[in-house]
Amino acid sequence: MAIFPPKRVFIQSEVENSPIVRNLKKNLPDARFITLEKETPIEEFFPSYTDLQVLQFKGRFIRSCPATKYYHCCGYVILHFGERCTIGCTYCILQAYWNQPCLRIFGNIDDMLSEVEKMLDSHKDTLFRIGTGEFTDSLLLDPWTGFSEILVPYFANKDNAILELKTKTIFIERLKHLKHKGHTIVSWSLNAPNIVSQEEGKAAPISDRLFAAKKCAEWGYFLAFHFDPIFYFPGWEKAYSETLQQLFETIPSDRIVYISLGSFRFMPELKKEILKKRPAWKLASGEFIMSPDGKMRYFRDIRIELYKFFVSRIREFDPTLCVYLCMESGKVWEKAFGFHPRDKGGLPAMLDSAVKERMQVGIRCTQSASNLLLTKPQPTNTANFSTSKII
Amino acid sequence: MKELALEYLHLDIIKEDDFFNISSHRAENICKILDEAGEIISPLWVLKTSNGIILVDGYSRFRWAKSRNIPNIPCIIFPESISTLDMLIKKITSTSLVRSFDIIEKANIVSRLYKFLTPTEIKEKFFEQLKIPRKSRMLKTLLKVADISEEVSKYTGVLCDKAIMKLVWWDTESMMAAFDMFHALRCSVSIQMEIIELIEDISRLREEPPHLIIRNRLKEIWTDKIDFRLKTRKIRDLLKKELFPKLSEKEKLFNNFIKSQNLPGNVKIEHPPFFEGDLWKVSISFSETSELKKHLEGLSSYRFIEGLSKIID
Repeated sequence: MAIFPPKRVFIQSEVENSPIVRNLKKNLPDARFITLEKETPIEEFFPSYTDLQVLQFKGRFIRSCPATKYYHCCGYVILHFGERCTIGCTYCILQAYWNQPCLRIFGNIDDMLSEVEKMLDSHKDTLFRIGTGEFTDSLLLDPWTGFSEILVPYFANKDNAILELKTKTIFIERLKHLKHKGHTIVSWSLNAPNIVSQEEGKAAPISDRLFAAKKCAEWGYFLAFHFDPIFYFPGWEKAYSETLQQLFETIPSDRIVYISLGSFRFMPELKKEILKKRPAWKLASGEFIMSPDGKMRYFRDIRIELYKFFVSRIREFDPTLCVYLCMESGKVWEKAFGFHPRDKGGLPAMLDSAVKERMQVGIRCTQSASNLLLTKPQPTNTANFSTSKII
Repeated sequence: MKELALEYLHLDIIKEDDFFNISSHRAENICKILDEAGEIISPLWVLKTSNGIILVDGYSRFRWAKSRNIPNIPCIIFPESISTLDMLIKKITSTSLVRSFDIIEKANIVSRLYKFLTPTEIKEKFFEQLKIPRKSRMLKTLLKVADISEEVSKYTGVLCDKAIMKLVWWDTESMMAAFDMFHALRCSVSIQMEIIELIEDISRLREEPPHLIIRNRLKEIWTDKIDFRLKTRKIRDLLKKELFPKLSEKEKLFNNFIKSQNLPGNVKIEHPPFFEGDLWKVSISFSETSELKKHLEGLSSYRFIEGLSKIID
């Protein structure tokens, strides 16, 4: 793995005294630090992917997952601490989301934590599953920012919240001695070995990710794994079996809070962007159909085939493990699992239960954060939407 | 501009220059118009240079005059002080006031401008005037079109601009095969794009160039002497079946089921697009309530519901 430290750090003057900037200065002795006044656009310095920008973020740090009303959302709460990723996965949706060249993190940590504090304090009966890995990799910059040293101990004392750090790296060293009190899940995105080696850029190999996960488990952390995106390619069963085998051989399953599954889906623009760079790229060619949410997905029967396989394999290793589908329809749930999320009180409630049971956190909470933050209605089992308008 | 002159010049002293000849594919049509008019009214543009008098605008008129042995033609003579680039810009501006350029002309103009200007300058100064969308790779695409403008010009009117701009990124053999196929199909813009995308996806998955698909598996259809629409439909069906085997199978299952039910013509059942989502539709048209009752009873029969549930669930 060759993830290099940033070469230049652009700091917005408003966050010059941020603890993140202090850490960066301490941990990046060879980097060039440039403070930008308000009127100086970063473009003047021709920023590249090897640079990092530390900004003052003025928007909302806490957001709900960008769910749609057509598919079931897990009710994950996003703590928006940065944007973009330099790991360079070919399929990454972030390529279509962002057009700025360099990584960005937000330096006004006090504002971030006070927003979190306010949210948690004013909804004591609500369980928050909060993660930082939606718009960037949670640990990609951790060796230099030390952000985990702020976040993990902060969440350790919150009775109604857990933190999930989602990564494809092995940057876990800073987690070793932190007081987490079992309130942090360290999670890894996993894939088939050929997908990892050919498509996941500078991400760590599966064996390294699992070794890091094992270490975290030894340090008392809870774990989660995300098979997302799952690809349908010749030999997929054998390839994914290998990863699953490796996972359960390495990790004690009682430390795993949940495993998510999500088949490859993409905005049509992403395919165009990828094909410009790699015209022979096969993974977005196949039985992809336009879904009601505007994304291309594998045809339903293929998704069912993929999920059924994963569910049955995982059940062989641990039948009690919470496995869920990311952004899927009730029909697909029924086919893959034999039940609808509604039967378990909805997907957010299912995951809340897994947190309560395995982590013993938020046991007194009666509400799910999704009730508070998910602005879009979730699908029901009745015909409540029209696809014809979108397609 | 005080040195600008309007004169009748002898054809022999006017030199053609490929640099300014951006619309040669339009010559045939213009010659037909001139045949009807019988004379050149609008003067040609020529530029005085150290190498003689260069023809800037009016290549079709020039050729028509030559073919009709007309010795002298009216010309506006631009002075030597005007640069080649400025002359081209004047030509672009003057034409764009009267009509829009087609894709070959746009490509030719961009390729000429590229000799003098940077990509950014071309995009900034000319894309809007030429009505070229500012999309990534557009300049490169147009340069590719310019490189093969002679071949492309044979298919204008058959191929849409979007299709041309996609196909120029294919290898030459595949591109030429696609040109031939679309010439034989004469289908709409959206269908051209759909067929191109299907072929591209299949080509990627099979790791074989598109011309093998077009010339080996599709040729029998597009060279057949059947109706254009039928050919197009057969090609689309074949490609869809190859790229979407499972979806096609499901569709077949659904269609066979509906067929087996012998539903009356005024009862229609539709599945959600691509079977994604829950929106199955039944539409019934009727003139009397007894007719409606009969249809509803038929649709709620055990046999019908059981059969349909096998497809839905």
